[in-house]
Amino acid sequence: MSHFKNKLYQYFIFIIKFRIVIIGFFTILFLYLALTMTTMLTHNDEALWLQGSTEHTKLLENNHQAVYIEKLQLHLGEKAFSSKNIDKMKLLHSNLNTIKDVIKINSPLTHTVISFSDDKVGSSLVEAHTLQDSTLAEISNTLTSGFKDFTQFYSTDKETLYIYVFSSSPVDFSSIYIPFKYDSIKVTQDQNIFKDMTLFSILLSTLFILFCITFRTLIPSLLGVVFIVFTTLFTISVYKFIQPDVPLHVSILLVSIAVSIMDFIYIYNGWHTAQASHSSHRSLYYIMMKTIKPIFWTSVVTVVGIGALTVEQSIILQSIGYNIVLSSLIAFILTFTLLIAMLSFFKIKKPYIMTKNSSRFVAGLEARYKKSLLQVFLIVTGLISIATVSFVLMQPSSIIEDSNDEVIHIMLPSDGLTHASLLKLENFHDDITSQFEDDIVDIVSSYKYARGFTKAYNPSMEFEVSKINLSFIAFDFILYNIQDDLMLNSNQLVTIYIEEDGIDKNVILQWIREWNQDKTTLIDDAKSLLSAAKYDSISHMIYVVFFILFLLTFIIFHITKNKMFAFIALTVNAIPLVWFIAILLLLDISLSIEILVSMLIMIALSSDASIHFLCYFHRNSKDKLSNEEIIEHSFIEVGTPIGMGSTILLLTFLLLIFANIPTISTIGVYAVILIILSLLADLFILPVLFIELIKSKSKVL
Amino acid sequence: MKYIILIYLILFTVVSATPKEKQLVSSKVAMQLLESIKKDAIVLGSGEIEVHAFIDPLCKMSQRYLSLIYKRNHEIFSHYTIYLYMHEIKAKKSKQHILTIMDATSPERMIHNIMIDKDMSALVSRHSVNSRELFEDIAKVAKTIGVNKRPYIMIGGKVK
Repeated sequence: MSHFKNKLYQYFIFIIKFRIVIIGFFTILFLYLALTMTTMLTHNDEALWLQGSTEHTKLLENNHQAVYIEKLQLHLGEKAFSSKNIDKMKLLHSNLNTIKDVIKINSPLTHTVISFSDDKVGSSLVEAHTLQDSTLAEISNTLTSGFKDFTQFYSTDKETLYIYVFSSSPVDFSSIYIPFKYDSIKVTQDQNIFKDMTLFSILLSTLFILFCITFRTLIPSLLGVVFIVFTTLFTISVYKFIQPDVPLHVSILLVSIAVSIMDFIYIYNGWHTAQASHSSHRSLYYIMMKTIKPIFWTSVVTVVGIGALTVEQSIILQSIGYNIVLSSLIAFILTFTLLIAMLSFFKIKKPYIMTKNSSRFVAGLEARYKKSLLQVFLIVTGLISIATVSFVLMQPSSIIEDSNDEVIHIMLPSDGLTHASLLKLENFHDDITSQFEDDIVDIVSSYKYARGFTKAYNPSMEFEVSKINLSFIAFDFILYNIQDDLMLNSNQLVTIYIEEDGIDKNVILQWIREWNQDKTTLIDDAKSLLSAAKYDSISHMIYVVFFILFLLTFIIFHITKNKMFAFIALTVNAIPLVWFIAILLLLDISLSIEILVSMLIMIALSSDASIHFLCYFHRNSKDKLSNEEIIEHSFIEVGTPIGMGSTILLLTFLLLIFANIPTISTIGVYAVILIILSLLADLFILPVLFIELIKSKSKVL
Repeated sequence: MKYIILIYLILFTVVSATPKEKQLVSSKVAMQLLESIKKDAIVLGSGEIEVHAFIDPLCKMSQRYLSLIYKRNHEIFSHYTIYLYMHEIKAKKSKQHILTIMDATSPERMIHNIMIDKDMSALVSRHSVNSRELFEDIAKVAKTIGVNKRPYIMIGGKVK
């Protein structure tokens, strides 16, 4: 038989012959790596996002540290300026000042206001003052009568007080007493072994139970866990070798495990079901023969497609890229060495095929599809696709992720308090205010106070930067202790407070980045840096998504040499994306980096399913099977592992939702939706398209 | 007669509405004038930049200003040298306080007692001829410069 006169068979015999050596070799390697493992997983995705990003790199090159700004939202009740509330505010200040890393607090108590006092008998003074040392009654009166100077600290209904805490590192606010009702602020814990272990335990237990239920034997459960543990450890080890200084994010590891388990499921399911009519070893060889091509090409799509991420500047995208590529490669190697060697020790008597009846039922329904329904669906999807693209092109701001921290801190390099630097600041104030007039509450800078003092000294004089007496301004900055808030090592610091219901912060951030022609403006607050880093990655990620789609199409064409197969691959993978983006636009959810990461993962996984399905159909397209039979067989051979794999992935991403790490939870939510859409497309659209576009035509021919 | 009263009222309004010149002499002349009374000033700090301030010990604004300077003494005194000139606001009737400060063995301590601590226990009614002369010298220079308020603060011969 020609099936046994090829290099693959020789390779299979080699594996069987040396199976103990192979298992021994990988076990020793595993034990060595496990014993020498020093990797710690991180939960702090913000730190990973910042590493390597353009704005953060600029900051580091200027030896400037990022500042962390947290906006505390405190519920005051109806009497915003009551003595009780002011007293609580004072208590909060003293509590916040006990935190080591807090640099400054910006609140109604510390806000500097310039005023002019004149007793009409020869005494007058222009001064800058805060309410910090005033009595409760004085503070209450000032806030009531001069509220316009303090609007950025209160919501429109005055029932919420905003206090901005500037710190040199993220602050855990749960460590102090906050004497108000407030919206909780979660601080990402950098390392939490208990949480990691819980996540992995749940994932492995789910796999174990799922395999037991599906195959009614313990073999896949045990081998699946062994396969995952080996793949995981090898992936971490190789990754640590490539990027030794970068901590590995726990979610990235979970995603790469989910990607690698698909290979195991295809092989095991094929081997299991084949034993209904073949011996264990022959089943093993047959399934190797059937799956090596699709598994090889799915690995190529993953490695080349997601591998594009490894050349990104962002460390987190590099990390995602490396881990998925490595786990895919390692899973491919282990599948055709260790897994084959391990499976060769087992055999299944009367293999239980859970999806036999359901496959027949669904296949029956699908084989009798209505052509008109398919056409309507494809036309609607096409129209939605055109509408979506037009909408995104017409309103590019709709693709920007929302951000609600409402404060931006920047540094403008300058040579100290000079007319030139104040002029630059004046231009900045004028430009940003004219652009975002209704969206900015306050801009705190040297210019604001230099202008304030100068106008207070000479109310009748028309203000011009050139007329500012710098000697007085410099003296006043020191006298009123505002120098440190406004300048750092002769550079100008600017804090921009954005209206609560104003335009999205990212729009203003992008404007600021493009405002300065020489690109010297440094964004230095951690949240804005994070937003900028994610924003920069969005366009790259869109290209990667398209790249994978076209790579998949090309590979399917390369395998089948048939344009129709390539068209089906492109259509089936594009359909979930089109519907997903349409849902996002309908719900007014902006495109974010989390959504794009989810899309990327979904395409990588969905392409797996498409390649396996299309390879199966290509292999069997010449068979004289009925439509119903070919769909039924494809469901048993390919649909079952796809369904199982998708269920495992769904569970993994559901776990990520509960991981309580904002970015990762968001990826989890979107990935779950995308996986469901993609599973529906693979199981219900792909087979129908195959019958419609290929099988029916080959019959006619 | 009513026209004369009307014209008088108009003129009075115009004169009083016209902002008084904050400084009557050029910065160069002001510097020369200040130089002539520098020795009579109470000096705080040892910084590179000179700040000249005409103050009245009973003027609330001057007191507030001085307390701000003391509050930030570390930063202020290392960057600036503050020259304080005691110059009375007639309405405050503070001549006795000024002369007491000038006569004190340590005018810096006395100015702190009177203006910051509001401790008037050291006030005396008899004063030296020298301090009376200094008082007049400062008043003359202040009049020439155009000191019209307290605190009247000058840097580089220019008023705030």
